[in-house]
Amino acid sequence: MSQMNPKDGVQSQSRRNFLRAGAILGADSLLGVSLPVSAALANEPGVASFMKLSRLLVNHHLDEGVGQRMWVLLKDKHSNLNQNVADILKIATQKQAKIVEDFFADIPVGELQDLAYQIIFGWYAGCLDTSAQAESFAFEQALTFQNTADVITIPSYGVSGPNDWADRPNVPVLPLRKF
Amino acid sequence: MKTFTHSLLLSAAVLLSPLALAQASNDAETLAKGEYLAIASDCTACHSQEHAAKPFTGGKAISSPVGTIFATNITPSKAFGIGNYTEEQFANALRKGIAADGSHLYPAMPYTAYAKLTDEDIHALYSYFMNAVKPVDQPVPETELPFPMNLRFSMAFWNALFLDDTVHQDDPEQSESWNRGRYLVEGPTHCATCHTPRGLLMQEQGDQFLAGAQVGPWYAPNITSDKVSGIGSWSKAEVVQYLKTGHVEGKAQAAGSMAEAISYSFQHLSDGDLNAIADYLATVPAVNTASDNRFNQGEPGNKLAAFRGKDFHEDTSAPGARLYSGSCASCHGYNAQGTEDGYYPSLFHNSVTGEANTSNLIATILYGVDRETEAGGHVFMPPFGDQPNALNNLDNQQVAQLSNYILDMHGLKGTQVTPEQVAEIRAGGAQSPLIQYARVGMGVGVVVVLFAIGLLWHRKRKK
Amino acid sequence: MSTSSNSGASNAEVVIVGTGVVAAVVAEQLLDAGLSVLMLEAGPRVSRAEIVENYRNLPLGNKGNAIASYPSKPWAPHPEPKSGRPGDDYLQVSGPNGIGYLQSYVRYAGGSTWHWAGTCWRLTPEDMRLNSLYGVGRDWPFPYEELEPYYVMAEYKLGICGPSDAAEQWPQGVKRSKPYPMPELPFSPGEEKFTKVMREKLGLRNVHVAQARNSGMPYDSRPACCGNNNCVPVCPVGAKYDAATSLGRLEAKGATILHNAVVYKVETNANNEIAAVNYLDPNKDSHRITGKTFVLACNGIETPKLLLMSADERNPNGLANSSDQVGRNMMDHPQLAYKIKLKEPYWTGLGPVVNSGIMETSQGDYRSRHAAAYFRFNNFAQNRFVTFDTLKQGLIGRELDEQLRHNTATSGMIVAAHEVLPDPENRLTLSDKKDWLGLPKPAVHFDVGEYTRRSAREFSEPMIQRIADAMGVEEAPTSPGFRPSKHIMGGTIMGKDSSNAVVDDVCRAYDHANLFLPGGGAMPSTATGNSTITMVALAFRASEAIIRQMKTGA
Repeated sequence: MSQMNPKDGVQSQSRRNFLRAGAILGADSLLGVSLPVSAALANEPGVASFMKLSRLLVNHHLDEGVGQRMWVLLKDKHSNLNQNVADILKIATQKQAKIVEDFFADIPVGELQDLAYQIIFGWYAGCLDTSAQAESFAFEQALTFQNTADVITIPSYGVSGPNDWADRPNVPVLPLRKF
Repeated sequence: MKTFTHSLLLSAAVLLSPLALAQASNDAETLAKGEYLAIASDCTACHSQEHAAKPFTGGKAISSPVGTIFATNITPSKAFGIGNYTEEQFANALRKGIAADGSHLYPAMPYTAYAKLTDEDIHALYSYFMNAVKPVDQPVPETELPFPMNLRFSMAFWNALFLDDTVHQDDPEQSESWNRGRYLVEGPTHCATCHTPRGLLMQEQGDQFLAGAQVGPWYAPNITSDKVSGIGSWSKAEVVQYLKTGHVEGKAQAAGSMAEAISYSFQHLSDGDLNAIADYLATVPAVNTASDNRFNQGEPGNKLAAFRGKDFHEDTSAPGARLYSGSCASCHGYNAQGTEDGYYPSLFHNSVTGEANTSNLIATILYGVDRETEAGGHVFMPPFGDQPNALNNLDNQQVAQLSNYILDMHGLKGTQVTPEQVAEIRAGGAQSPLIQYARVGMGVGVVVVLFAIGLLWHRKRKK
Repeated sequence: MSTSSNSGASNAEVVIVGTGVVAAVVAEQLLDAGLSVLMLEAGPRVSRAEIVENYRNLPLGNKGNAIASYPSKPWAPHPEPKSGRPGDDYLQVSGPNGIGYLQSYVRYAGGSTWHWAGTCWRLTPEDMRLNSLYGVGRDWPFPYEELEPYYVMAEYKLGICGPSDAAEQWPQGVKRSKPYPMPELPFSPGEEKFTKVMREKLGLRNVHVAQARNSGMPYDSRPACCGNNNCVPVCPVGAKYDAATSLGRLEAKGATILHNAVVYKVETNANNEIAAVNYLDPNKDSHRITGKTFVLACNGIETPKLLLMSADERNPNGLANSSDQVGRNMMDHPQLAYKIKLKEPYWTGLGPVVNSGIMETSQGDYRSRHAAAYFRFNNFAQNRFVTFDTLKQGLIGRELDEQLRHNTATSGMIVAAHEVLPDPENRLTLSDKKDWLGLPKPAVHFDVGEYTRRSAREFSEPMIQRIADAMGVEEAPTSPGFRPSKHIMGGTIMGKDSSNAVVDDVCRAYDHANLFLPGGGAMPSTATGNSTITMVALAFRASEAIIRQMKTGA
């Protein structure tokens, strides 16, 4: 420690600063505020239920605006979307579910389970199918990118000061990131 | 006219000081001290066009609110520089704003600050410039300000009104560090030149010392000890870190001329001196200029869902957010959270977006940031104005939309930027009304008086 | 962005067709020498922000497609296979490896460097003497020593970072006349591990890529790389050199740049010198631009296409084509890309997308028998490649997160990039199919050839298996076969003999004294490393010749 060069000093100082900033803001607050895509959608009861279900199916911070975009697309595909959402929510309520593992097994195979999987798919992929023409409604906030953002880049977003990603460890797969 | 000049020359000559007979020293200690003071005084910021290649050769265009002033060659060149200056003439230039030929300097040269320099320090500076700076025989363009600013003698009136030329005196009640800090702040580092608002006649307003002022396109903010609108909430270590690197995470970062001041001057000062500056700044009388603390405004967030996945040219409810995404988010993050290491700053909890004066936000977008320090590396944000290297060329409307999005999402809510403001910053900042005032008001009076004197003198000669 | 591009300009001392890296470098050299320059770009001029947002707006299923962020304009189609867009079937390919020649290039102001990785391997002295040393292919008309100073110019113009340690530099053991202007970029955790495993298990040296990217510092008034891992399809911050970053500077130096100006005919005069170029605008109106010297810098497909399209009475087989070599010898670096599933994490996706390579395998006497190959482990973040398959497994909650993370950490791609020999039968011709403006689409017949196939069989495929094995894979990887590296070479090949070459050693057309065709089309050998730095070196060499010729007539 006695022979620390000035650059190391600055780096460790900036890391300390970061830790301090993190402590002040709290890790969660860095996820940002959610904003509705439109006021009309924000007041749409179907969206509120959809978001409630989404938060049970996916145990992460979810963006309200992304949810609204997904809901609009799902509505086009599922004529009885609101009823299906209500049905799945009912199962979750019966199980007093707090996380997806608490109730997913109780969702009957078929229309309801397909919908549940599609909602999960949407939150992770930012679109509803695998085609090159699918409408995307999330990229940065698609959970597949958030899931590894502690280790690697969300493409097109810088990770650090110039060349400061050098010597990052090749970490094990676990623990999971909180997001 | 001649009469005035003559009397000025005479009065200058009368002001003989002990410096008059001094010789430039050539010992290493004095030269090193002189060099250090030249750095502290940031002479190079104005007097070097190419900082590294040709120091002190002048020629750099300084845009002032009253027109462009070309910095002079201050190498010891006898033909084009200050090679013929005696130490006394040198002292008069620095402390009184009077060149060796008796002409008056414009206060773009911060002689009102350098007036505080001690004789000993003047001697060290003189020795350094005469003996350690390489003479470069290179002329500089003439400064040609619009009427009546081109009447340099008018500066004599200005000096009589506004120049406090008392040399710094230590306050025995205060610590050595505080006194050193005060000397550096008021003298060589000339903080007030930018940070103290100026009055109608471009004079620094004493009761507003360091309370914040517009400098061309940039705003040099309030750095008094006020806890809300100054830097009273900063720790001493943060002040020192800022002066060393130009960046304090979650608070502020230097751009524009402050980036230059840090790159060329402050980062090279000793830790003792930087601490002394921090000591003194902590006691500068608080001036409250705002109700909101500019360092803790805003929060992270985004409006990506409004346009993600849609065509780039499709109408969107969030045009500012889309501009942000295309031009800013790649470094500052999609939630404006900055990078984890803090190298690319968050745009919330950032003095640029938390300040009611939006100049620095607009200017940062238009001009970018260029700052190089040993401790912080070479920080470079590309510009988004008309420059050939602009990352994207944003027009005034776009900069206004972008600024308003950033202010609303991440900064001081309710602050508005108009395309007209952007146009003004793009043009280099507000022009001083001084020229207009001088031309149509006071100026007319002065000219009338001059004309009358001239007539009288002329008639006397005729007789 | 306007679609009308005609500024009223109708002539310049030098007319350059193209605005890509070769065109931009030539233009700047000429402007600096005091010559007036007019540049014509077939496609639009768009902001970086638009392309960055195009990328972000793509659905996940299309994010791996490097061209999808650059939709063609109807009047300037570029290859966009399976897109349903104007460029869908623009490039017609045929032959045993036709699909291996489905190139990707960008007809936008700034050209294809918009979406290049920035990789800048120099050729080696041996790469330029294949015929003398190994009895295959063609020799260059001049030795490496003559090219070296131009490589240095390219490295300083584009801002190419690279290792200062001689043992890490490519070519190895060959003197450089100047160091790289910036140090190498750091490895990702996966690249660190890969490098170590290659060294320890196979004795192979995985070295830092020399790349046109600002490393650790700003350069050329552009910012430093901040690790966006998005070099392909676009660097969002301009830390990577692309020619679009230089266009503003060229204009500040006096260049006129016309966009949406599709040159369709190059005109000769009675002396068989070039007199003018004619272009169509998006309204299909024709315009004529005259000049003293002409440079076609549209790379290996559009340049030969334009020469063939410009056939006239004096040049019935197309311009510059008395040798019948225009459009022949089409080359690339046919690559075999292998998706691998690793047993342990090799996190890729920090730093540039292509950041290291094993180059030393590309040299040796074996080249008398089969093609050279170099190997690399790509550094793309893997999320976009693993998400769908993982989601299809029906996992939820914590298990889903763990599996996604596992698959992202343990997936990767290793690539073998091969050289090919110039073969006159690998040929670009004008298709009878027409584009939106009614201009013929380019057609390319392509066969990688036995020399390269043998390399795959005897050398690169076994090597890939050894590399995969050393890394520790779940199963032996397979490749879908030869695919393009999108390094278009040949087409206007360089040589000493005008009877079998299109351009001389300064890229001047043998048939037209005032026509220059610098770039990849001129390269007589491909070696294995990306072609751009060599194209730029040739651009500098051609610029000197143009200036000399215009100022002294020599």
